[in-house]
Amino acid sequence: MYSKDGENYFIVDAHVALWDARPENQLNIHGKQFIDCFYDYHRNLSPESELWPYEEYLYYGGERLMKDLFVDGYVDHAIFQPARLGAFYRNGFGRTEEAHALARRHPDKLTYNHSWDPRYEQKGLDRLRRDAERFGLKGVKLYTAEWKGDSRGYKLDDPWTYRYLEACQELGITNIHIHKGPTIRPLDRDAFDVADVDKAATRFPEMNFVVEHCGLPRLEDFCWIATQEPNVHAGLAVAMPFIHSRPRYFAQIIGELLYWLDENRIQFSSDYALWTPRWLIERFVDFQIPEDMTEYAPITLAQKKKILGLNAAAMYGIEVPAGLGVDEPAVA
Amino acid sequence: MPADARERSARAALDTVLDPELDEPITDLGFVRSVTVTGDGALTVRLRLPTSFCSPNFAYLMASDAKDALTALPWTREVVVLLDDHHDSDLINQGLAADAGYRGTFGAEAEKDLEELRLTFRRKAHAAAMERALAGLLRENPDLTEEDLHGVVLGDLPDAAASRALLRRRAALGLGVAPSEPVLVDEDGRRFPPAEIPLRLRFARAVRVSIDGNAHFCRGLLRTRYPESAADQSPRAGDVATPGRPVRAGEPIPLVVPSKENVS
Repeated sequence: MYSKDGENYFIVDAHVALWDARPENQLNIHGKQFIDCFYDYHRNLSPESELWPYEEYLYYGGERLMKDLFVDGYVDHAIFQPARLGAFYRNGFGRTEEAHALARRHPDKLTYNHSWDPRYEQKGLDRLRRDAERFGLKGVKLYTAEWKGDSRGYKLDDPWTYRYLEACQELGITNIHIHKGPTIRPLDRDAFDVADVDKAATRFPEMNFVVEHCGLPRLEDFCWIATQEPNVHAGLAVAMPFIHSRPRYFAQIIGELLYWLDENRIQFSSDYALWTPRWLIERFVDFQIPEDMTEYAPITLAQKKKILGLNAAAMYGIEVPAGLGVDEPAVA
Repeated sequence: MPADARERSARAALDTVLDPELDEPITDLGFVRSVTVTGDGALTVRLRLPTSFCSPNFAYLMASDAKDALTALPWTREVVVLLDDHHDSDLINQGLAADAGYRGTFGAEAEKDLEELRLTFRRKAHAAAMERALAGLLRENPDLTEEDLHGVVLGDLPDAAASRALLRRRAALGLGVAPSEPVLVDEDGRRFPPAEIPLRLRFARAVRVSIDGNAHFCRGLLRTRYPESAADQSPRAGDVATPGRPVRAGEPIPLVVPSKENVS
């Protein structure tokens, strides 16, 4: 929980990771290029006081994660959104066992989402059923641009993907997080193309589709489909740190999202360990749309509370302590 | 031609190569790492990008457009364009050296050529330029309503950088540039029904916010990755205007049309 000026904010960090990018886990040069790319994002968008040394960035471990999120970071609950990146890392990028063990030890604080890849067809589908039971899954994180052999990615509206989504629906895995952002091919298509999310969201109206990085840098395409599909949500991973380096751009992103979507479909996340949540939360609570940007309405206290935690809590059934919702009268 | 004149000539040719996604010359973005001309006229240009994982299709497009623009210069003979530090550097550099074209370079991975992708981004660039020009008009004419924009034609726009930029984007899409042409149009040049104007304008603004935001992010990342690139970058203006004499609506426009792509 974060408190400022007599207001209390319940915080859900909807996109965190426990990764291992150490050289011994790198399968090839791409493993190094990938984490170097992350580290450049980190260096480029962080305030100087929040910079990590490169060595720590490669692997930080569960203990540090707990401290950064829950001791220093005001976070009440965080959701793991792991990436496998099996073509780059020997044992995968995300530390499945370590993250899952942490989530089991702290079920009140952590939710573990897993991933799947429809290109494994029936074998992967069987695996999904076992994973759902083992991890108690409520959500998954999908990297549609992930490399697999000669394949340059898959789409959410591929026939096998639909079979996996049907299985998810049956298994109660209703929250589908989709990474649409800067990594890797699909080659011919625009890697940020969200048209496939549109089709899947129409086909599965009872499931939630959270587009991570809110479609940046194709904000307009994302907004266009989210306006038409009420079950499409915006994840603020990567968008948040612009609040420091380019606050006017951040204001435009939030302004556009609030205009095209609504305040119930936007979720805060630090994208830990790309960035740490503490400073992002402090800045967001202090943030306001600049006065000269008359095209956007000022952001309200209730909107901030929803974005910082209440929206994701509602999606994941995370209990919000009395007094921290938006319907409660403010403490006098 | 002396070597320094040749280098200037090469850089001027590179000014015509755009990052299709950011809608800016690769020179202004700082993507040109070095231009080397030897005594016998051999030309080597090295390119750099903000991350190893910038889309390989856009990376290929810019590198092959650069090679085409340089090869078209009257004095060049051997032209080598190299993309540094990209996850597909080897593949792209080999493809460029062999003039293999996009599909020849990426083989089975490439299903179709890149013209469709290029068109998508020309349309986005047009929408953003249209919004910039019209937002400027609305700011300067407080009595003008959004619905009034239905009747606004190119001849009504001020002689400003944003207007000239819009003309270039229209020409790149094959839309008319006569003063009588309506400004607020879709990608095929059709006017929107007046009732749709606020929504369409809003959408065009989202396009502009995306492109501008991305351009700033990419510039910043390039500086983080290559600190020395800061000196090579030109600040992104409200829009990028071609320096030199103003171009009025309806006049022939010096086009910045990407060169033809080699498709094998």
